[in-house]
Amino acid sequence: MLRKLIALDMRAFARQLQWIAPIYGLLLLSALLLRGFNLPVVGVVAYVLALIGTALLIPAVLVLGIVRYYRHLYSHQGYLTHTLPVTASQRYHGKLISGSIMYAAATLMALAGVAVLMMTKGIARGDVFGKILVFFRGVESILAYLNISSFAAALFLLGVWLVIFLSTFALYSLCITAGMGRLFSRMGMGGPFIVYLLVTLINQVAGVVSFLLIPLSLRIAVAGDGIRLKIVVGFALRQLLEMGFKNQQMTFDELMTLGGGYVDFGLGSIVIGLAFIVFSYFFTKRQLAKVNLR
Amino acid sequence: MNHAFSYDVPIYLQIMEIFIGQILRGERARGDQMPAVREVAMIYGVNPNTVQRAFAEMDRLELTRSERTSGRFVVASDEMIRALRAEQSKEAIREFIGRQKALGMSCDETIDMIRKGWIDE
Amino acid sequence: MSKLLEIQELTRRYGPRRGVENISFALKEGEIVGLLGPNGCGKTTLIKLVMGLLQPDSGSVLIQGRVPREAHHLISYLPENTYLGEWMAMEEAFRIFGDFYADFDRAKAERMLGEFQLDSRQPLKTMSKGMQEKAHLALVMSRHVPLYILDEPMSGIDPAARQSILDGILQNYNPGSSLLLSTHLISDVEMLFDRVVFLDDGYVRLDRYVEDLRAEEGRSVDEYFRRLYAPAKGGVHAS
Repeated sequence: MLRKLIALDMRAFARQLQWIAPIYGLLLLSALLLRGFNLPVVGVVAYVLALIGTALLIPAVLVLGIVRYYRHLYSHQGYLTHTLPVTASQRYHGKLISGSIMYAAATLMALAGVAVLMMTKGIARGDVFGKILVFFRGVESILAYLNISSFAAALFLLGVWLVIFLSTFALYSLCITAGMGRLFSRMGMGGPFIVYLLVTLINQVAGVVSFLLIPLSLRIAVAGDGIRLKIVVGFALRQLLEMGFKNQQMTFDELMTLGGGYVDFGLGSIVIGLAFIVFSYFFTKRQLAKVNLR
Repeated sequence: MNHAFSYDVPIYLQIMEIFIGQILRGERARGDQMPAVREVAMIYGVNPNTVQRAFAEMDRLELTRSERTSGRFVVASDEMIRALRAEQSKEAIREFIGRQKALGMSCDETIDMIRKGWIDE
Repeated sequence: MSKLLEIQELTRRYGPRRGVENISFALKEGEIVGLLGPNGCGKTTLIKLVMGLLQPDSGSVLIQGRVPREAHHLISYLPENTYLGEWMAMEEAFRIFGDFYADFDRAKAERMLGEFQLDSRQPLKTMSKGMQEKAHLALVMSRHVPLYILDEPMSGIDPAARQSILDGILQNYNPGSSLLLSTHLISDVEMLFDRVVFLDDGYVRLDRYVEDLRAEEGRSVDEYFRRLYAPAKGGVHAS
């Protein structure tokens, strides 16, 4: 049944993609040709448009996910979704999984778009892949500077990529589900916005509190020619207090010397962010089982 | 729907009336099969349970009988039909007489009128 | 006849406003029950509670002994307004029903659509209200379930189309199944019911077998309710 729910969502997404994909493809193609063959002005305009399109692609798909979440679960279509013979947790997981598939699809499209944009300049010069190679060499030298293996870096990026989706989903699913709940039954679409404001406020406060109370820091230490990153148990605040707040405008090297060869950054707010994802998962799933449709 | 029911009288009685009328006029003879409940419900646009009730009532009056496997049949004997016809006729006449009396008609006058009317029909 | 749907002391309020108040009634197998009353009397609220689309403040709903959210496979539900995407054609709706309901009879749905002279590829948004209602009916009546719940299947539809919708219901509901139909148009459908439950301002005002009502009151259900209801509202200016 979960598979069928996901398939249902994917059909809805495919309908939305029918518009997005050709438009984006056209943007890329025009950038590739116009800029590729160095047409003045038009080439730059096409390139910039394609760049904007690429930057908007993932946010747009996330927004479409929000729209689908609302429509399928809380608009008139909710009357169907909530009377299909599936459990509330299947409904929830269906939205979560289909949303992540769409996010992945958008990411792949955006990556392909970036690659195309990198190629545009090289076409006229006959060196199509030159820029891409330069990009990877740059990445390599950054990794060497940070003393990170490419595997670890890939894993980290993947983690960040996933957390971006999960925290977005955690936020909007909770805001919509709680905001469309009984408490806000007379507020229409205002409910989700009020919950959003509340959640943002609480997250801000929790971020500050967590900085003071959660002993987890990212330590950036000098190591040979580069730096080394390490996660340590300890308050970043302690080092901050030891160093005092002498000068706000320090260079990185001055900061390192002052800190005794390292600087700590508190990770409390990241812990809070992850905790929110977990909280939203259980809370929203539960709330979804007790809908009060209007 | 080709029959106008009046909604202020139980529908099952009106359905009985339809089918008993058919039996009295000989349109449905002894041994004939009765239509299925669902079919009747659809033809007249009424609730099948109402038709079921009408037919069960006819079974109770022993005008029809439901065989477990083959359906429902008319079983009314000639005697029974005669008795029922007489009863319904008497009922109609009683009503009719009441109305004639209300109009101030005498028995003879009424009978004359009936003769004339019967021939004209 | 055993109980198919059992509602006990069900209450649901909207803030200070009454939704339904302490409602109890049961639906037996094979019964066709009319849920009647003026607009805003709690019919849709009650149906939403039975479907698990609303949560009660107190009381319980059981369908063959199951709570609503575990009983969706037992009920075929026609909501007051559409629950399909307006871009959808019935083809997509049939696909969804076929996917999720093992009891969905696609051939029957297509036959009904044909009888209503509708095209399964026409998007809902290009259909008239009457056509939409018929299309939904083809969808909902093509499931083989013990209970059909139809919320106002004839509101906003011209009388000619109403009759074909009524025929569609009568001809296509599963024999032996029960039907709960809400409407504020009593006279059109009173031939259909075994029993009527009349809601008034959230309360059950009356729960009676219609043939008993006709026999004992000597009135049609429609007329009976008009008389019952009119004095309560001052008896003037019936709209």
